[in-house]
Amino acid sequence: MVGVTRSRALRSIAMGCALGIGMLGQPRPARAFEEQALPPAEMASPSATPSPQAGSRALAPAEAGAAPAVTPGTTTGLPAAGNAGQPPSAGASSEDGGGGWTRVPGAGESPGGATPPGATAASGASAASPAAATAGAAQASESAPGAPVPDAPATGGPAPQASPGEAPPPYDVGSIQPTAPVSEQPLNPLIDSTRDQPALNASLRFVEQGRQALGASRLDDAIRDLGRAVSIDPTDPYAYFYLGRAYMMKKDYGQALAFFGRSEVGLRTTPAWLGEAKGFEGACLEEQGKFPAAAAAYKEALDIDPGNIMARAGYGRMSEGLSAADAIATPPAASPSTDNAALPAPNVNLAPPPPSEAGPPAAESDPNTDAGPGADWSAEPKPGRGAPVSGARSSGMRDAQ
Amino acid sequence: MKRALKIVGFALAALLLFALPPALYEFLGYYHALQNEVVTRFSGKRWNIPSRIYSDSCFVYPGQSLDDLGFFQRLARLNYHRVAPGQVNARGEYSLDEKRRRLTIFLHGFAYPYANFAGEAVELALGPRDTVLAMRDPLGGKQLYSMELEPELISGIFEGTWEQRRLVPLEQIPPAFIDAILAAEDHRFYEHHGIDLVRIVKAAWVDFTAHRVRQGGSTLTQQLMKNFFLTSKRDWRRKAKEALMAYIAERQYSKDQILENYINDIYLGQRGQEGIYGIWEASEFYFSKEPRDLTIGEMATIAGMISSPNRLNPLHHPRLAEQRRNEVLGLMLADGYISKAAYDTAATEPLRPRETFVENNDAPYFVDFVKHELAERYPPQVLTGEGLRIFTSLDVHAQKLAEKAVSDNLNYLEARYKSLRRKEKKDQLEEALIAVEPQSGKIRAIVGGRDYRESQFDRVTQAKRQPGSAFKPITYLAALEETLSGGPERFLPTSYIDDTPFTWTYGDMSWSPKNYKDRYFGRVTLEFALEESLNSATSRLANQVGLDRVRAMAERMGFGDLPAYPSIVLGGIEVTPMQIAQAYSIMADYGLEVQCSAVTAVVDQNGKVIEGNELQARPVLSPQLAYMIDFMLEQVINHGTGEDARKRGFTRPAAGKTGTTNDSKDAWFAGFTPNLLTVVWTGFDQKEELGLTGAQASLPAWTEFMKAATASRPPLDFTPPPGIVVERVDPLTGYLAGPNCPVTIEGAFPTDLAPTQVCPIHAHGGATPAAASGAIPGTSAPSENNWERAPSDTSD
Repeated sequence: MVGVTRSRALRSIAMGCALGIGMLGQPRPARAFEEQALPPAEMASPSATPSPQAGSRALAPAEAGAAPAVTPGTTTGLPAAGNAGQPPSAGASSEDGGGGWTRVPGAGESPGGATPPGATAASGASAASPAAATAGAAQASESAPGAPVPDAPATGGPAPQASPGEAPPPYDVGSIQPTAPVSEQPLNPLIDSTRDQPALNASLRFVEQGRQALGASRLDDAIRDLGRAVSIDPTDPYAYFYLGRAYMMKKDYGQALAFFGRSEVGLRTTPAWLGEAKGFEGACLEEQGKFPAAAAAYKEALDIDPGNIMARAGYGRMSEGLSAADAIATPPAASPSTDNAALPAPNVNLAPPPPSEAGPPAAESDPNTDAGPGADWSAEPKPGRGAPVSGARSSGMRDAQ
Repeated sequence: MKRALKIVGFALAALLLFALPPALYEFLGYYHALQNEVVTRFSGKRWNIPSRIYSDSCFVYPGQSLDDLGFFQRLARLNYHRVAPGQVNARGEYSLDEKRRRLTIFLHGFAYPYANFAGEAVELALGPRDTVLAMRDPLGGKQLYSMELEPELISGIFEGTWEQRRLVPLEQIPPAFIDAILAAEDHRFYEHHGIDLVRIVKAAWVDFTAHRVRQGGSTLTQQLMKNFFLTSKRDWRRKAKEALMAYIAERQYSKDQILENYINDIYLGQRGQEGIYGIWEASEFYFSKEPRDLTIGEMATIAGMISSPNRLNPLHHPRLAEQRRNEVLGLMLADGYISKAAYDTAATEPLRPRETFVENNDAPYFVDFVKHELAERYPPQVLTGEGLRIFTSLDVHAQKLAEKAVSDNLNYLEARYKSLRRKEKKDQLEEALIAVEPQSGKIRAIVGGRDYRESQFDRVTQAKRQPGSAFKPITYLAALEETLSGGPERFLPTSYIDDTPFTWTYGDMSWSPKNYKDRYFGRVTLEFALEESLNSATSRLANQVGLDRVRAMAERMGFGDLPAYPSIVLGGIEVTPMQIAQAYSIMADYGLEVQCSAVTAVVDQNGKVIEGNELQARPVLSPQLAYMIDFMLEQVINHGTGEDARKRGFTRPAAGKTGTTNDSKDAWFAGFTPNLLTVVWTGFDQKEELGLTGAQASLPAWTEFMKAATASRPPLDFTPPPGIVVERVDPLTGYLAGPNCPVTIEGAFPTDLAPTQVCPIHAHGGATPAAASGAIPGTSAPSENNWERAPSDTSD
């Protein structure tokens, strides 16, 4: 049971899933994308990227702005902008404009007619039950802000053991089109937009260098570049984000989770990036065999950015794997990922859940709280002062309540 | 007669027959022994090369002020040589065009741990206060976005004498340099076999006519043998051995091999305790250039120094050095190494050694810490003899600032408070400072005491002292975590706690903490209690949270398994400033623990990275919890016990906490901006009473250091993580503050627990009914409040 799911996740990583795009290779959630013709890369990828370590100690634009060297077919190759993962959706392409910022249209902007491929793939799953909603809420509560995080820092605390028969709540992304992983694209637009912030600007140039090193599978170089970026501007969330990715590629998922979690501090105002960080957290947790936490992280990613392709695929994949897990009655013996055994099959029915089912367990436990129903699902934070989160709500869940 | 001759002949024959073979045998044995010695030395490790300890490199990017970076002092310490604008032609040169506000630097080459940098020119456009406006490559015009000034050498690890030497293959030395050396020392080098009889006769004649030893007859090979194996003692036995060894070396090795050893071996002067050996080191030391960038005149200057390095030192005796240079140039001309035109150019070239710079770049406590760290991983003989290059996190500029801040503060305290003065140096007031970059764990500066020469005891890492109130955030963290993890009790920054006399009973014992000067404030918010460092309120909070939870939090924060005594919540334990820095760095980095470390990389002689320090982090607190405590600690500096920092002109967003022990023996201030954390401790080694609070004794040094050390970077603020909002609330009612609320405070709240409604009670300037309180979840109505702020110097 576990083996099925684990190997699936591992396979997806091997196919480039660790870099987001690879999720499309998964049979269920992304099948529709696979059948689409892929748009050309937005930026030509040089056959070889000169090692930034080799020569200059002064950072020049050619180094910072060059497209990453892509190693097609390798497990760690970082696709160029708009590469394989670029869905043919008008929503993504019109907003991206080839830049590093991917704005996801809000629920209200969606025409509401077409069902996204991920939803189509999942439509056959069973409807949510109250028990399933409870389980989902429990998972989400792991990611609740402020939870202590010894093992799974990004989502807080050891994964709770869900009881068999529970399932995560269904999720409906409505007609929102999937978007290409924003972190796959060169950071040049971001760099250009931060010229008035010297430290961040200088830091981002090293982040871009590190991103390119990741693309060339030079993980140690990447970590060094990203470490420099952190030194120059410790508030640069992109440095932490790519550090997370670097450690993920090194299969050091604990470190990766720590850095993804750290990146979220600065990414809270950029839903596409925040969703991506959450999506990668989900992938790390999945690799660690912490499936309930992974499902919760994917769901948070979808809450923040319903177009997040990785989260869609991950959620669906988990659902499929966990359904299979349910079908096989005997859980594995001692295995590092045995918490999967306790996980019920999450439904992949992406229809909106009844509001009452998505209620927050934390709120129930504390009658004094002012938080309304669904507060503990709030992977999407309430906007802080001067830092509003906008346009990233899903059409389901809290908006529907 | 004949018979006598026969006897003599017989005796001689007998002597030849019986004495010569043993003598010959003896000589051959001696010869073989010397041969073995020479071969062993040549084929084995020829020099004990000390390890070198380097500082961190310095990144410069547009927007930074060179003034605040201490950039020109860095250039001076790195032996950069200022030339006229437009004359920057070689590595190590820079020019500052005051009129056009242009700085042009030709960066030194440097072998970084993971890359070799050949050196390149960078031009910087400067604005007011030498702020970098733009950077470009002056040759190609390509725009640049950052540059890296190489690390500074801060110390060596050696045994006996510090022989600073960089080994360089012969092919990397310009032929003209070799020619200059040969002309000056041994122009028949390629013609003799280790011993130059012609030269010996000439030297003997010169010495004879001068009635004293004026000229030596040693060849390069003999000099090398002397340096390798022998002493400088002038006697015929040593000279004979030297000659024999030179002969052996010439038979065993090629001329180029001998020459390569020679250029790496020769002694060429002294820099403090550090000897300059080999022509690479000499080029860098005297002219701030690599050998390939030297002019013929400069090469001749160094070659001329070999015979008498200190007397002909161009830094101290330029006239003599110039005279000797021209002698060498004359010899080069005579031997046909250079043309007349080249001679004329070189001989008229003004001698331009680098500026002598008196400021040293040592950081003794930091270096000791590095050595201690390395000693756990490398045996002594490796550290002292294998030429390791140790890269550290030290920022030399920050170190200078830290030393100045500590020194100035100690002088100020002793001038202001007579009771702090001591006659004996060993009894004097001490202060320690550590500055860390929380996100990378890089230790930027360590000042372990007031004077390293007086006391090498490093108070940052070795002094175990009570932290007092600097420990209090641990209790608040434990309380806030209860809330964030959905525990049964809710503690928020605006939650109320009684600040009245309180007795904590445990077992058959009781403990009654007292506030500073026995002042109590009634019911106060947690935020206020921390701001004003109220002992009673904090102890009561710890009591409510549970001692075990506080201890567990302390253990997570690196304080170990503390005893289950209530007094620990007020810092009744012993810790080092390093431990406090490590714990506070977790709060500063949104709950991630990055191990504080001084060593960033170790590279062997061949450039292979033996160890590199990758950025790794361990989550200890959730980002939300860390931010909530950071926000409360910000209030300590904004208007709590640490507000003197603001009065002293430190305006950047910062969080921190004072610490004073009940017996006033230790005074602390630990605080941080988003990118730099500094802990200062002040006290006596003998644990005598200080009589000052952390705000009085340690905060001034903290503030002065932080003002200067953060000046080169743009101000950064603490950003709330997802799930946290910052709201201004009316603490009397718990609602969001309205325009008429008499008292308002800011607090960081979990999104789902933050107040959402604006205070209706004071909407029209109405009174505050107690019943209206409690709108903040988990809080109760205040029965009485005292919002009068305590003066910062009377409370801790």
